[in-house]
Amino acid sequence: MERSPIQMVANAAEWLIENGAEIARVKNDTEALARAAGMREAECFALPTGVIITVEDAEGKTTTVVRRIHQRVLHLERLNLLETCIREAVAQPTTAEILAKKLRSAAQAPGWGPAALIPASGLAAGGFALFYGGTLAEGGLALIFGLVWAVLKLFLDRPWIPGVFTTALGSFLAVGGSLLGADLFRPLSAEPVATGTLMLLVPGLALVQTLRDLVAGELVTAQSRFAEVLMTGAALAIGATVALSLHSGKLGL
Amino acid sequence: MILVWTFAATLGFAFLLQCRGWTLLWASLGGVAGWGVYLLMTPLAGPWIAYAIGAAAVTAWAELLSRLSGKPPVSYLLPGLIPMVPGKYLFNAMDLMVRQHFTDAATTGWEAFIIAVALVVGVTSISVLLRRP
Repeated sequence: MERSPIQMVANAAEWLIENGAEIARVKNDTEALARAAGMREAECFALPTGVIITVEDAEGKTTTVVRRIHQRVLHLERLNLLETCIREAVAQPTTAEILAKKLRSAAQAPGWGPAALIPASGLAAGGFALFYGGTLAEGGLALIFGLVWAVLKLFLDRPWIPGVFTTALGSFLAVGGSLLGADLFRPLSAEPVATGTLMLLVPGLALVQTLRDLVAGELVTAQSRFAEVLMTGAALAIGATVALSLHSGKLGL
Repeated sequence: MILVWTFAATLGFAFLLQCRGWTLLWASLGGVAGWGVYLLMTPLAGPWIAYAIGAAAVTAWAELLSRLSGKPPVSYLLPGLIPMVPGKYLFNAMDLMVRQHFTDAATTGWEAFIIAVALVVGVTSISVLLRRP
């Protein structure tokens, strides 16, 4: 349970960032929530890796809270619930205790489990292989790789396993599997299969969000997001390089 | 037929982005609408402007649905943009670099960047126009 309204506001900011909210929106929502919770002034400095919130209460006492953000995912349903809570609190202020409970419940809303995410991963990979001009057989192979990747990812999504390692491995499996599939089942082409499967890994959406942050004037956030895009791109390149080199025999295997 | 594959790919991603309920359907239709507008506009305006107009169409769709459902526009916007994000260009740039075709890799990487810029221009222009106070 939150120790004070400022802790509740800090939690909300932390949950928004963890679930993939735009940084400009985090600042606006956090400052609005702080005022709705009775603070006289509120300032929020948010980054993808941390948030600093300073508030001045009704008696003029200033408090600052710093939170480090350790993991970020895109969870649109939680974002929707959190923002709805904040919007309602701003429109019709309620007690801090009720609001804190609502926010916590929104942040802990369950997402789709493996039973939905594994087929969805296959659908996305297969759909993209066909979208990029693949045949039905190539789409089917990409679908299988998408399913396999989703199952593997369940085991690899651990706090102690770096994301770049997971991405590099995924890229290796997607490109290597596609090349092997094309060799085994001629005349399948590896390109649509690899591209469809890699769409699960490429930071295309992250690149678009980086530029959106830049346009919104969030220069520091845009830089750190761009570094993330570069890291993911490098991990993809490493995995694909190893797979392509093994296939072409450059590694002497 | 390509719009069917667009729908399938966007629906898959909408699940992965943890959309729930009817949002899955509407966000996926947003992806289809955006790609359809892109295909229509490409012969008229060229690919880069078509990407911007496609992204603007997805944003307008997301803003409309947001007002009808009370959910934030991002719930519909991000899955809807998925078919247009330059994932294939990024992969091709990386593949060309691995094959040591550095000039082609730089050109393809630049194209990916320009597409991302076009998408942001489309999204931002409509967001600013339709922003509620």
